[in-house]
Amino acid sequence: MAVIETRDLRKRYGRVEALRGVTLKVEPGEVFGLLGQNGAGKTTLIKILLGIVKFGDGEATLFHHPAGTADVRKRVGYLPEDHRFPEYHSAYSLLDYYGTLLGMPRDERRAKIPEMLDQVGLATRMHDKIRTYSKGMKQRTGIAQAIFHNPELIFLDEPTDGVDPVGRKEIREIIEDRRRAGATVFVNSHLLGEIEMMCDRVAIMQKGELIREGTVQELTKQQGVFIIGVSERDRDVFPEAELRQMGYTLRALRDRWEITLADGQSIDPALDLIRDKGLRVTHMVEKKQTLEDIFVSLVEAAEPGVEDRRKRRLAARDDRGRGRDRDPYDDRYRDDDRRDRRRDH
Amino acid sequence: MFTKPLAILKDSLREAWDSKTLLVMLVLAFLFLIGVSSIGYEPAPPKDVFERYAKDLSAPVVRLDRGKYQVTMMDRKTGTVYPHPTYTVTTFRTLKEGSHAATGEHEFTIVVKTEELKPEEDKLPDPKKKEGEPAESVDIFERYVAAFHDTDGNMVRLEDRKDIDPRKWRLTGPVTEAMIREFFAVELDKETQVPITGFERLPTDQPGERVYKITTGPSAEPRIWPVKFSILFGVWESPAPLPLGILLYTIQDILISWVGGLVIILIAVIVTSFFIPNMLRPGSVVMLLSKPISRTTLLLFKYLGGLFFVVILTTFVVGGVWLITGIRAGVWAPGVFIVVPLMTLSFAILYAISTAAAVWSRNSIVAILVTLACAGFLWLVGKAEVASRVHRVLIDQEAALKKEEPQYAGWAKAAVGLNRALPRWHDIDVLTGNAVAESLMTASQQEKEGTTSIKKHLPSWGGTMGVTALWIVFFLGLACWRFSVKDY
Repeated sequence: MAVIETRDLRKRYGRVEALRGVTLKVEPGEVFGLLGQNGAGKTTLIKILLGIVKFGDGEATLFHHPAGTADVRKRVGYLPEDHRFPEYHSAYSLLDYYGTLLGMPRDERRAKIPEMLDQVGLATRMHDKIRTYSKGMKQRTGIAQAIFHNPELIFLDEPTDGVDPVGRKEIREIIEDRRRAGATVFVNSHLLGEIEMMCDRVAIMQKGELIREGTVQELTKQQGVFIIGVSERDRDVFPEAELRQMGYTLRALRDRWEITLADGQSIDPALDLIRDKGLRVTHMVEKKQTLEDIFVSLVEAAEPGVEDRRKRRLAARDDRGRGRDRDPYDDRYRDDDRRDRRRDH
Repeated sequence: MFTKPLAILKDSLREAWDSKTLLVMLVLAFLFLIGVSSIGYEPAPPKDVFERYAKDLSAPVVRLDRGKYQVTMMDRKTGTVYPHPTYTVTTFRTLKEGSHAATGEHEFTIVVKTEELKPEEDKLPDPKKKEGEPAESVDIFERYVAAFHDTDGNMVRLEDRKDIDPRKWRLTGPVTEAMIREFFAVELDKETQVPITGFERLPTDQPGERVYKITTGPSAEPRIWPVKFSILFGVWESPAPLPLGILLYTIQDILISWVGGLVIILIAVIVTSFFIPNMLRPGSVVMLLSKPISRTTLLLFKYLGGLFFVVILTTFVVGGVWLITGIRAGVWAPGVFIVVPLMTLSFAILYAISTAAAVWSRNSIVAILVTLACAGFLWLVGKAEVASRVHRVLIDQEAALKKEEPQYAGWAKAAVGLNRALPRWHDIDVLTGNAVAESLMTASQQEKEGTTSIKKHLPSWGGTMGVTALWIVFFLGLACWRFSVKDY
């Protein structure tokens, strides 16, 4: 039984079609991530599900009830993007106010609020006015108000926005706790790494349409790309031309090569050739696609030009760097290194 | 059931308190109350009051029909004052002290000097005088007393109603001591509401002079007693005493009409205009809309939060003024508390307009400007309606003389129509003023101040409340509808 279900959901703001037939199902206990560029329609979808925005055509249900009704909202927690809490509240009084609106009894509020604020790291400041909080603290307050009433479904729009790395980790742990407690979590985020770490299933939205949906594993499945490195003395004699003749696609990195296999092709002949040449292989990993790769390629497919812009930016950086000694900490290589490290991990 | 709405109310108060607006308003109100408490009320000494009473009686005025109608005794063409009696208090003593000057028992003698007309001055022949007999000397004082008791022209016969020369009056019956006592009693009652408990004519050998010894009892109504008032704890004192009720009405009418009606309401309009736009700010409104509460309830209780702000302020101000007046002047008039709901209603219509404008524009400046423009328009309509009422009275009189149907000007008809149809903001102000008058003044004082005559043209409570309430419902309905259908 799906917790969230939409069928051919459509929404129009004047001439702009914000949602163009979105059909989606989120099952109980899932952490579901929705990716998309700014203006793709992610926030509109959440607002429709909460009844904050009225939809045009289609169907939207939460817990098999029409989305947006008061009864349904009682079972939902929500952290909006760019939220602005009334600054005359403290975190404690804000949660107390929202708890009252959610119909929580006073005793329950008194018991849960300090516990929740302690969990998000605001226990010592919970009676201070929100206006004195940093951005990260406000975000933690937002997380707390979204989950302190133990909702069955939690919508988080950019939950780690403005939070430091330690805070992000804590938030991921809180989300994981909620999932373990049986809650369903729906996350909108631009931080693809975060989504990749947190979510069971992911959907990618572009211009009001869902263009891809699946588990993280399905989306980032192996594409037959390997990174190979040889010892420093062998680099100049790396058999690039021969490998290309064998049907491999090669891309030179700083001190390694990215080898892409053709359909049905194996990496073994390439390794054999390298060894036959007497070269010492010092590094070899199978490259996985990241969610970012998938996202960019899908967005590029749906909106040509995105990847071109990225390439132009990289080329411009190459031009700026030409004529200098190669700096091992150059951003270009640092990006690649970082990605590799993540893959190794 | 009311937990959620009460939480919204509490939140509004928290917002007002946190932004210091409520605190600043309460501090200003407190300073204002200190100003009010600096007004002192010193009851005039009884001797002064009776001397003033005698002085007032000495005015060249004839009091017809037991004082209901007063006519100045003067030839309007020449400016010559007609003969009239004069009164002087010669002795005074207090028989028994009271807790208040008005509640003591006093005794004083009053000397009435009258002119005796020479026969040739008496312009009408005495009907009782027989042919050949010398004309009787006619006492002008008795003529004035007779005119006081005259209701149907039996006592004093005027040949021409327009000719008020007392020398032309002709007594048609005897003037008794009881009639003279009543003359003094009624006039003293108007002045001080002190009853005459003893009345005796004393002998005198002075021609044209009468001397009366008057004993007074305690007054049941201290509001009639004249008081001298001072402001700023005695820095400035009033030169002449005024009856306490009239003085309190004058002061509180100014306080409530200006400080209450204008300053508090206008400041409240400005301060509360931020409540709804603040709630509707992107990032704030979505937090509330995601909670299980209807948008209508949310908006209505946010509106009530604004009203609550004004209820607190007006209760503080009116309660404070009531308490101070009670302590300083000894007048405890709970009737003034009706000002609280009336001022709240007066604010409620403006805040409903402000709420509708705020929901539409999500901008507090727009809400303030729209509300102030509407308030100005409603005030003008109210004033035009008052002017049209005067216009109609004049036209009615003219038409009655000409025995024609009255023809009112177009603007007067429009003003009446607009006032009937639009929120009765000005009428609420009139009703508030009347409520203050009723609670602070005695019936005779209201009559003297003209508020009784205003009552004849007083707007109806039902119409004022009903039409205004309908407009409030209309504006709030409009705001709720917009709030319910809008995407945030």
